[in-house]
Amino acid sequence: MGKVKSAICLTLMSLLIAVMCFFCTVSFPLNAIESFHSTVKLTEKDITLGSWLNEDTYIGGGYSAVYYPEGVISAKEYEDNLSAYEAAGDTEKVEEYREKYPEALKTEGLYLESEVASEDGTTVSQSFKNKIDKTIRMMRERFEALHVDGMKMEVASSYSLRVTLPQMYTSRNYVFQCMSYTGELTVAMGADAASADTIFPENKRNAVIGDYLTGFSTRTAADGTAYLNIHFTPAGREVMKNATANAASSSTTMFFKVGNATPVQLTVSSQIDQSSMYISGGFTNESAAATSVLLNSALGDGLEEDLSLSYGDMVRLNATYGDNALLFVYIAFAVLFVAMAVFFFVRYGLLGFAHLFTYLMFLFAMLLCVWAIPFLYVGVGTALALLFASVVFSVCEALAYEYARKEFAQGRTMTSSVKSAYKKTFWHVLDLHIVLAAIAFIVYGISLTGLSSFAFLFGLGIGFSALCSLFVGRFVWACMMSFTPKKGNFCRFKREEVEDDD
Amino acid sequence: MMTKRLKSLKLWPLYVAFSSVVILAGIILYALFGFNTAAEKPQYKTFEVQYNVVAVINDKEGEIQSRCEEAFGAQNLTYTAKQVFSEVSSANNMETGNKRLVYEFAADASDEALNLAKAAAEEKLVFENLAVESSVSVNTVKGETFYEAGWRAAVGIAVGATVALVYIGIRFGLGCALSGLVGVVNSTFFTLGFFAITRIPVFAVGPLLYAAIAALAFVLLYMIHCMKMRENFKDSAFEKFGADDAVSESLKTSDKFVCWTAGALGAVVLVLGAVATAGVRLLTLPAFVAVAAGLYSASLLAPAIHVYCKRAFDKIKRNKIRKYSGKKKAAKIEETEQTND
Repeated sequence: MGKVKSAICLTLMSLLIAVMCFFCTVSFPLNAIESFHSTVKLTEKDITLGSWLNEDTYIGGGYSAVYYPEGVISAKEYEDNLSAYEAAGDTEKVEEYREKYPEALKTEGLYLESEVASEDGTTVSQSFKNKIDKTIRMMRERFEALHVDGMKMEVASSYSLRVTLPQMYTSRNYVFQCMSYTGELTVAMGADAASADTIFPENKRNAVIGDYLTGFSTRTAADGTAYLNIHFTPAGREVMKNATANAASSSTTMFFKVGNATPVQLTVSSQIDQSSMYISGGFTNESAAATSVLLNSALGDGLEEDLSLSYGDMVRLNATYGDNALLFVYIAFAVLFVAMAVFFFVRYGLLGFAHLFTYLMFLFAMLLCVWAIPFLYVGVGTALALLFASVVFSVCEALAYEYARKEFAQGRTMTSSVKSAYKKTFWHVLDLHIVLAAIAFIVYGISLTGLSSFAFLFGLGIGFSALCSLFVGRFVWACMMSFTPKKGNFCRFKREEVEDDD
Repeated sequence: MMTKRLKSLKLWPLYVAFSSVVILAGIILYALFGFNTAAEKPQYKTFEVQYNVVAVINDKEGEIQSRCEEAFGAQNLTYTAKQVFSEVSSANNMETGNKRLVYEFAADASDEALNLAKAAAEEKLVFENLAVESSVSVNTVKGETFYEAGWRAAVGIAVGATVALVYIGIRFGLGCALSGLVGVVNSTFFTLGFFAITRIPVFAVGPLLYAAIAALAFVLLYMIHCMKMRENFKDSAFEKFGADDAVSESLKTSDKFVCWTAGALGAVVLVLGAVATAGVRLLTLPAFVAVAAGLYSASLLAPAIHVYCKRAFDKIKRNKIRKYSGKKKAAKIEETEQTND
C-alpha cells in the first residue's frame, strides 16, 4: 500500500477511534441543567454495581419490598397503631389491639394476628404454617419464572418475604403489585368487576378453571408491541363463544380476576371463537411476562383460601458490591490494558501500535454494543466476558505475529511473511472463533440471567475478535508498515543467523 | 530419547487417579453438603432501625448509628455489614425521606444479646429524642434458592461443549474430539469438585459460572495444541515418530503459547480480583481455579489421552491403506511400523 493511501486510512481510523472514545468515555455539563453523558455512564448497571449519573439519578443497584401475608404485620406498624390508640386515650381499643396481636405470637420483628395465625392464642397453628409455606413456594416460583438477573428473595422472621429486583428492571412497581395477588383465577363478564358474572369456571358441579384455560404466554410483535396470549380448552372456547355471542350489538367487559384483584380487563365488542386470544393493552415485555406468570400461577396453584399479601413502601439499594465497586472494575481494566500494551510493545516493537489501534476499535465497538443492546448491562460477569474476549483477540493477533516472525527469520521479505502468516493462521483462527462462539451462543440460548449475559457478550466479543484479528489487524499492520523502510526493526523481527562454514 | 514432555504424557495414570479422586470426593461432598454459598448470605440476622425524615433534616443519622453501635459494644456484638436504605413510595416511586438503617450479623449471633441491644438502643433513641418515630426490630433472614437457572446453565454448558467437540471432531479428527471430551469433562467436574471439597465461599451463580469458564478455557487452550498438531503432523519429519513421540514433539511447539494464553486468562481474573471490592473479589478470584483446571486438562490429561487415540486411529488408517493399496505401499507401511516399534 502506498504511503499516501496509508496516511489517509490511518487518519480516518484515528478519527474514528477518537470519536468512539469521546462518545464512550467523556461526560461534561452542557449548561447549568443539562449534561452530556458518555455511553459507559449511561449503560445500565446490574444490582451489584452502580454509579451516580448526576446528583439525583443513580444507575444500578436495586429496589427491595417486603410482603406481609394476611395476619402478619411489622413491629413498626404494630407500634405505630398502638401508640395512636394510646395517644387517643382509648384504653378499650388498646386492650383489644393487644389481644388481636398478642405478645405470645410475636416472632422477632413481626406480630401475628391471633384469629388468623393461632387456634389457642398462644402458639402458631399448623394450618397457618402450611399456608405460609405454600405462599413462600408460590412466590418463589412466580419470581423465578420472571428470569430477572440479580433478583433475590428472602424469608424474614419466618413469616414475611423480602424481594429485591434490580433497578434496570423498569416494571418493578407493577411486578411488586402484581405478584401480591393471590387466590383462585376466575374470568367474569359484565359492566364492572364487582357485579360481573363469572363465566370460567361455570357454576356447575366439579367445574374447575383448568377445564376452560390451558395457560397464558407472551409474544412480542415485530414493532415491539407485547401481547398476552390466552389459550382456551375446547370447552373454554365453546363457553367463551356463547358468552360473547351478543358482544357485537352491546359491548361488554371481560375481567380476569385473581382472588379479588383484576390484573387484566378488556372490552369485548365482537364474538370470540378462537382457541387462543391475544391482548395487547399497553403491556411492555416485562409487564406482559409478569402478568402471564401471575395468571399461570393462579391457574395452576391458586385457591380461594390462599393468604392474601400486602406490601408497603420499597427501599432503594445502592450497588450491593459497594459504592466503589464499579470504579475498581474500571481500574482493574486499565491495569490489564496497560499490561497488554506493554507486552505487545516489548515483544513486537512499533507493531504494538497496530495491535493497539485494532484493539481500541474492538473495545469501543463492544462498549457501544453493550450500551445499545437492551438486555446487556455493566456487571462483573459482563466485564469478565469482555476481558476474556480481549484475551482471545490478543492471542490471535500474537499468533499471526509469531508466524510472521518465523517466516521473516527464515529469509522471506516482510510482505511475503505477513501474507504467509495470515494464510497459515486463517483457518486456525477461524476454527477457534467458530468453536468459542458456538459454545457461547448455545450457553446464551439455554441458560438464564447472569450466565446468559456473560455468554452473549463473550460470543459477541468472539465475533468482533474474528473480524478484527483476521481483517482489520492485518489492514492496520499494512498501513503502518508502509511508512518505514526497516520493516524488520519496526516489528522487532530478526533474520536467523546462518553460520558461515568458510 | 525420553524427553520431559514425553515423560509427562506417560504419567496419565497419575492424572486419571488425581482427577478421579477430586471428582469423586467432590460428588460425595456435594451430595452431603452442597457448595458453600456463604457469599450469598443464605442466613443472617438483621438489626433494623427505621427513622423518619426529621432525623435526616436534623442531621441526627450519625448519632443514631453511634447509639446503636454503643449498644452492640455493650453486648459484645460485631456486625458484618451496615447499610442505610432510602424508602421509596410504591405509589409514586419517589423517595419518602424516611430511612432504614440495617446492621447485619452472622446467623449464630445471640438472640438474647441482640434483643438486649435492641432494648438499649430503643431506650437511648427515645430518651435522647434522636429520631422522632423510630422503630427497632431484629429479624432472622433466610435466602431462597432459585433452581431453574442452575440446571439450565448445566444443560447449556453440556450442549455447547458437545457441539464444540463435534466441530473439533470434523476439523481436527475424531482423536482430538475424544481426548477433548475427556478434557472438557475433567476441567468442568474438576472445578466443581474443587469447590465442593475446599468449601471456598462462592455466590450461588459461582460454581456454574466457573464450570463454564473452565470449559471455555480448556477448549481455547486445547485447540491451540490441536491446531499445532494438525499442522505438524502434515510435516514429513513427524511421519517417522510413533504416536507418543509425535504428540510430545508437537506439544513442545505449542506449550509456550498455551502457557502465555492461560497466563493472560489467569491475569484477568487475578487483577480483577485483586483490584476490587470484597464482592467482586469473591466472584472473580475463584475463577482462577477454573483457568488452572482448564490448563491442567489441556496440557497434561487430554494430550496423554490423545496419544492412545492417535495410536488407535493411526492403526485403523494403516489397515485401511493396506487393504486398498498395492503391494509396494503395504511394504512401505510395514517398514514404517517396524521402525516405530
